[in-house]
Amino acid sequence: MRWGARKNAVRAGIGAVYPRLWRFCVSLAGDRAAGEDLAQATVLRALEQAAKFQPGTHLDRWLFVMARRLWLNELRHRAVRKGTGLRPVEELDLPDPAPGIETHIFASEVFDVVTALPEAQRVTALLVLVEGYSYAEAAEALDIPVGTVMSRIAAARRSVAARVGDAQEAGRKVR
Amino acid sequence: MVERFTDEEISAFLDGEADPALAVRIAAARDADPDFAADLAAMEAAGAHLVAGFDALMADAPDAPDLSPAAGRIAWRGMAAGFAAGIAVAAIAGAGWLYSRPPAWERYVAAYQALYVPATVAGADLTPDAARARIAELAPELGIDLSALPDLPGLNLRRAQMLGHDGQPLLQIAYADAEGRPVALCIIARAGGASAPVMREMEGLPAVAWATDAHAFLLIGGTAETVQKAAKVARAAL
Repeated sequence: MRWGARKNAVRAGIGAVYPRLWRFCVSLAGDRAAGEDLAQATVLRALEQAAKFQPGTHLDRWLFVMARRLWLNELRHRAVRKGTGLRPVEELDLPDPAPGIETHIFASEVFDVVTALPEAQRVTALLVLVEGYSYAEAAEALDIPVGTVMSRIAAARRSVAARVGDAQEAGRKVR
Repeated sequence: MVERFTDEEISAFLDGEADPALAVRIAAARDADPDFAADLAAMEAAGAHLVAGFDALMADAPDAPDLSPAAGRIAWRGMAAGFAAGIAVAAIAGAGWLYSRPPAWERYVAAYQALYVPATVAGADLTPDAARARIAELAPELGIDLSALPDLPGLNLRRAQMLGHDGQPLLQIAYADAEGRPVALCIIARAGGASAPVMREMEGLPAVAWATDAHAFLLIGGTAETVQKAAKVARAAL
């Protein structure tokens, strides 16, 4: 396939994938501004490297791997220097939940459960629980052993379960 | 003696990554030990909370950049205005579908629904009144009161039947849309916590899933527009 055609395949596919790429980048960076920078940088890099994309394979997965590499090699350091990356959980500006939804934990905790996780657990949980990666696929994408995927997912679940349990306990006391 | 499992084993079981022997042992322990069953449910709910958190984040995802060659250079449109979460989320997720992994019962329902053709529901011989009576009869098995369930826009009630998933009763209320396409509202008792509606494509069918504190709902089949509208009405009533 000609380079131009591949570039067009990448260009045409990015629109549908971009919101999920953005979410992946925000999850990696733990911060919206840094995540947005990373998502945009990934798109630019993807267009440059479009010749390496194999049409018919998963564009989203290709972009995720590229985003992670960019984050680890380049942007993370810059974000840390600028003080925008890897901030404490309390400072994260994740969105408010839909109003009127009755949850059995306090509404803001729906998001806190994600942001409270360490970066490694957060990204692994996103790939496995949300993006539908198998443990083996997540291990390959994150360049870690399958056992590490398993322990990160387990730790993420356990800490959220504990947090939700505490919140329910607190909710009962308030009432 | 009750067997104990590590968090890794529990997680692998919940993610469908446990080998069959482990899965059998965990399922047996769940049935034998209420404390373990509660812990397993808490770990499953924790996963659902994470999915809900990540899905909610999607509501604020910005538009994709304009990459058309005509744009000359990439024109970043900045962040989309804060979008109310909910069904609207689906509209900005590119092709219109979120990609989170649905729970197992939803996947089974979708696979089942995919086998339905218009003739499946055309042959249902219950009158709407009889179908409503049947719903009233079956609902208590799930511990739910469905007397407030209204007619759903664009859908004709055909029948109600009890199915089962993993030993749990699963109520299926079957409808046909205006073109006779099968649509089903499926309900299962599930204390995983309330969750906002999420739209997905499952087995090639549009589906909206949501949950209350005690029950999970999946409306699937027909067209995306119909299930969105019908889900809104059903959810408001229940």
